[in-house]
Amino acid sequence: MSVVELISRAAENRSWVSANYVDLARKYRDRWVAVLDKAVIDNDKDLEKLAKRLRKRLDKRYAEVAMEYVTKKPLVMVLVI
Amino acid sequence: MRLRGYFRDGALGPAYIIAIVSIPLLKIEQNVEFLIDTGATKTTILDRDAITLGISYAKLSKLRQPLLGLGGLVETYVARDAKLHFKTEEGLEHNEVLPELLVVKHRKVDDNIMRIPSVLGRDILNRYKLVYDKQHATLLIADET
Repeated sequence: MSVVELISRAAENRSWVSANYVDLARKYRDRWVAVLDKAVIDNDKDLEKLAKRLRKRLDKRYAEVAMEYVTKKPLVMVLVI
Repeated sequence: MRLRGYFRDGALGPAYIIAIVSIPLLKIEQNVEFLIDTGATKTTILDRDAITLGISYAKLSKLRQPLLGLGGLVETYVARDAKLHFKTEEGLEHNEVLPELLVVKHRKVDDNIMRIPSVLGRDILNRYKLVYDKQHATLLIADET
């Protein structure tokens, strides 16, 4: 798969997470969800465990996955690095 | 060359852009959503993306100078010869070579720390024109004048 195609697929997955965030936060409250082909394929409280599991399961397609922490808790961020 | 980002997370939400991060030394190639951060000196991978990328800190060198954020100093590592791959508006690939990609490691990681996104800093942003227009939902990085 080309890099351009990979970015397009990853963007679609991330966009799907944004569009469905409220529902995801309700269903998977305070957990990490993994989205591939615009569907939740796995979730976990621990991102490291989730990432390890998916890397094994998806092989090259792992690069397309969007992983997002879904929560109803608000967070104010001020970033300077 | 025009790279388009997007805004999310409501009225005060920041702008993001997606890139594929590749670090040949670590055999890593994975998508990362970067927050556009003109306050960041350098493009930096935060804890959550370090995990999803599968970065092994032991294979990286430590940054000599301290990295100061609003939360204080954090342990920082350097991934050498990393590449960020973007998709242009024309559907082509655009690459940015980073001699030093910073990778942060907080000593104590909680759910809030893990929510902090990686940031696209001035080491890349200052090479281009940046259009940040929330009113018209436009985030553009371009090499035109």
